[in-house]
Amino acid sequence: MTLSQDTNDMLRLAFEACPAAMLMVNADGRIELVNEECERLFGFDRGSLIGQRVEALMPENIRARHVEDRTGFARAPSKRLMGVGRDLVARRRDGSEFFVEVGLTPIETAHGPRIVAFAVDITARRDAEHALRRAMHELQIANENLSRFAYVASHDIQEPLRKISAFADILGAAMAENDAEEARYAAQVMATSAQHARRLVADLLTYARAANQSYAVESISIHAALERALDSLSQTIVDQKADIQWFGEDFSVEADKLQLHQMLLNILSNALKYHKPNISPRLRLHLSALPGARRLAVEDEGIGFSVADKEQIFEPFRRLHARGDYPGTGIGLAICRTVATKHGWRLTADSTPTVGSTFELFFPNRPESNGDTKA
Amino acid sequence: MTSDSRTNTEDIDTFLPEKDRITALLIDDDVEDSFLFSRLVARSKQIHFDIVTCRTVENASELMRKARFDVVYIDYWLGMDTSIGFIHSESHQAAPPLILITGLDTPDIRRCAYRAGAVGFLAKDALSVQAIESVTLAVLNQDRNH
Repeated sequence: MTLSQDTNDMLRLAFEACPAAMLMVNADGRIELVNEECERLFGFDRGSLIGQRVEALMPENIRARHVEDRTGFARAPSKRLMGVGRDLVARRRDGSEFFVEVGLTPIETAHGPRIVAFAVDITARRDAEHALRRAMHELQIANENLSRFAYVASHDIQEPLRKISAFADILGAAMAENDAEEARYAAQVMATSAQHARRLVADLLTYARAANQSYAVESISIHAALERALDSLSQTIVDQKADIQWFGEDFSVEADKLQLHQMLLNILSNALKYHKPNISPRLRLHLSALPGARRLAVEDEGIGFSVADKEQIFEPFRRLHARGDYPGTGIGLAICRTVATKHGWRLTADSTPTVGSTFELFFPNRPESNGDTKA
Repeated sequence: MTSDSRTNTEDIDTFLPEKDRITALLIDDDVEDSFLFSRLVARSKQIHFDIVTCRTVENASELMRKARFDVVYIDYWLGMDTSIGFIHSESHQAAPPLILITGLDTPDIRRCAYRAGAVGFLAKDALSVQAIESVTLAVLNQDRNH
């Protein structure tokens, strides 16, 4: 079939105007025709492309394989997409690489078989797909965490109410049977359960405030902040005959005063609480300057915990011990982690069972804030 | 025997079959919940429970190695973890039937427990001597029939 000059011109114009990179390759894999988008996409001018093998547009490590693929295609040519199910990479003149989608169409011309190919840069689409997958994965984790939070929260919030109800029945029965000992025990469980419920609600509110409120940031002496927190714990320190030692020089941090106080209070009260049985708590507070950050470390010689739990202890409602052994709501360290993260600080924990624990706070020299902070 | 042949209900008890006597292990880290459970089973009219209590799965494993139990009641939350891993490993080792006992009664937890190998389920907020008897007898009958 011979096309008229007009038709030929129209086809050439359509080929040239195509928004995808178009090229025509002969049976030897040499490029015979390219459009303007092909020049732009690969960074070659037309003159440099014509006569080149098509493998020049691919990274070196896949060229040999492409020659085999091209030979196979020539034996059974058919219209198809290339590299379905795998990432196809193309190479620009400057050596940079990018992801492409390639379509192949075999045609018969007066000069023999040819392949018309189109190539589209899919880097942006691929990046968007990856970002979407990543976001979906993060969302899934967030949903799982939320679901876990809901489970554990409902369990822990229901527990004191369930006990008050159950032990009220026992109290009634004990009074009817004149069992003073059981009545006393039931009343005591009801009272401690009610107190626990109140603490739980208070801690949940503190946690919510730490996560959602705007922070009023000011420059605060860490030494003064620690002294304030220790002052709040003075009765416990006296009762437990705690030994507290300080090391290092004071420094200032940019912090919300109340949130910093809450965080230090929780870390220090944990260090005092989890002491070894019949041994008074011993705490060492280290203040130091590191390259790029200042550090506060709170070391204790308490019961410690397994290093496998060092991240989980920062999750809300995570308790390593039964509440009968060590009272608490399991929210304290979650509050600390939230306060630290919102200020742009890093809070870590390390421990050896029966040896002790160290909680470290790193304050970057250039404060980074993840939350709503205001000066 | 029919009840209309008797007027005194105390006499009826003497004609009822003897109580089943079982040795049970209760694993719960909450001493108050252990107290509640033990108090309830002590009032059972159908089963005489010899209850052994412990607070950790480590203690439970040791006790289960040393003594034979007819049934094990285990709390869902034990310290930092759930007891699902313990249930899963024990139920694959010819252990006595395991009954999950929890303060959080949700279909997900029930499903998870049954998949792990628990054969019964008791919700702490609806715990009664009748509920414990009913689940325990059903589980023991099922175990005997296997």
